[in-house]
Amino acid sequence: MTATATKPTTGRSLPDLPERAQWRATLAIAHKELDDAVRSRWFWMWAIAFALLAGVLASVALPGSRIAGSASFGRTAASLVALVQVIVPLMGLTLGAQSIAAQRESGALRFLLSHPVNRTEAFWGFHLGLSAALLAAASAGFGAAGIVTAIRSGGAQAGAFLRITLLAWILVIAMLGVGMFISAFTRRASSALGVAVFVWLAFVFLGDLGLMGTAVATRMPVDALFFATVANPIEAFRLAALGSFVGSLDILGPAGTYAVDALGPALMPVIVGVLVLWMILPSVGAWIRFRTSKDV
Amino acid sequence: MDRPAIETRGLSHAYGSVVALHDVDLQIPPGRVGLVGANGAGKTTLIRILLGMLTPTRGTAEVFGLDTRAYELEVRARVGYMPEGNCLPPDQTAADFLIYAAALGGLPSRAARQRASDVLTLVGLEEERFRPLGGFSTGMKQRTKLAQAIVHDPELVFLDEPTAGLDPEGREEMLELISRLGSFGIDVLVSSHVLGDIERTCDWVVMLEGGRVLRSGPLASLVDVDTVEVDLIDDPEPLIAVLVAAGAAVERSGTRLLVTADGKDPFLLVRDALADTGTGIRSMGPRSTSLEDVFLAVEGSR
Repeated sequence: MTATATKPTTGRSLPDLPERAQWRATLAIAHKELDDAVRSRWFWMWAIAFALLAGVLASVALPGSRIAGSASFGRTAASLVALVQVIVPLMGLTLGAQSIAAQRESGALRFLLSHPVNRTEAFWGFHLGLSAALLAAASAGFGAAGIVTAIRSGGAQAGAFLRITLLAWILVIAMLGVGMFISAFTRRASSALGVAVFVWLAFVFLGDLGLMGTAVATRMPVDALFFATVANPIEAFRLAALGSFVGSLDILGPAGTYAVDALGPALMPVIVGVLVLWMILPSVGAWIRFRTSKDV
Repeated sequence: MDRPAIETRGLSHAYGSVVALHDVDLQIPPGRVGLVGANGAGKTTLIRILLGMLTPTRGTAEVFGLDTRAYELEVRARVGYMPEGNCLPPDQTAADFLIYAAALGGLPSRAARQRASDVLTLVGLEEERFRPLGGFSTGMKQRTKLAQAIVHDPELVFLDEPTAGLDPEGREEMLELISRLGSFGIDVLVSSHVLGDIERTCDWVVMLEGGRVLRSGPLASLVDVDTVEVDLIDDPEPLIAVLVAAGAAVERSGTRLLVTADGKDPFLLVRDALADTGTGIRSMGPRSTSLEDVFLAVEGSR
């Protein structure tokens, strides 16, 4: 409300808009987003594909579990991490990229903002609903893998399994935020989707192969290589996940050894902190852009 | 005018170099108001500013005395909006969509369900409430859009081209519904380029053209021009001469005359002139000027 706001001149009292009612609108938007996502073919395609692949990977990786025990779980976990690295970011990015731009394009955003709902409530309603949908889809995959793992190797590695699940949840919300950031700056849903796929390729492939090539070509110092790696949210997830069930990052070679030596016990909190920052910053950036945008 | 429902002062808005509204000053009373103008006249821009969805480049807008920039949520809590374009999710049922709209309006869950049911009955969609909106006809979609605009019990509702795309029967039903809104204590602002619709449903008219206000006033004062239409059997010339001598303006088209007289009753002038000249007539009566005539005349005079 601006300082120069015109005072109401009617005798009518202002309508009551208590905080509870505003949360009601946010929850209503979140509920609708979740419903829409669950009705969408894409949601089921991702959820089923992820669950099938995770279940198959767990089955294939565990045949020697009665003999090898935790080593077998290590194979399962490594396979799951590799799967999550590819699929989960794509899920979050594409769903997020289509959120605001598609609503703007279809006129749904204009409809929404014609009600007593402000842009902040609308944005966090979208975010909450899509987060719930993505967590459900990701959980379906981990549920399938978890059931297979529990049946074949018992519950000995349940803690490590849950930690990887939690990290995957953080990754998918981070990628949703990046997708929504793209969407907030894009007018058309198809353009947003194109940019999201490019960003996914950059994170998954260029961030890995590109970084390796750059490191060799420029003789990048090991500390710079480590921090450049960790700055990529997918790599941060991989390092955090591997660290959570292997216990050390020495297996990653010189960069891993450097990280262990340089950061010591702070290593895992730093990596997880990077992931958490990726979860927060793009979402907040998207919110600020959406809040200040004049487009309806 | 006691207290305007809508008031704008020096309101201007531009999309880049394109000026959509130019220095619009309006005072619109409560009731049924028509906002007329060709496509691109600035009607939708004005509505979006009044809803607080657009920030004007210059000037102020108030709805019920509330500045639309400072009190956008309060304004939208008291105003409903039926957009022109399609905003209906095809997979959602009419009932779910209305419950969602009611929840956005701040109604608790149970009240939202009850209100959605009541409003769907009001617009004649109670039998269709569990059907997905994607399968609705254009008329049913328009009625659903009207229903969502009034589901939170607003005091004023903005209807943007409510009869667009409707067949004659659907149009009649929509106009009937709009006319009935007043009996529920809901004021209406109808934006349309179909002047006949405005004439049938509104009692105040705002004419926009090129982002400027051409006219704003009661419908009766705009369309009730005192003109007498006379169809003659005999030669019109003697009658015309007498009427002109008496200070009337006469427009002739074959045996038909249109007679107007500033400050005098044209009926009395025609009656006296007919008696003086002994001219025979086929018919005589008032010629009511349609809103379209007024619009074209005002637009043409600019």
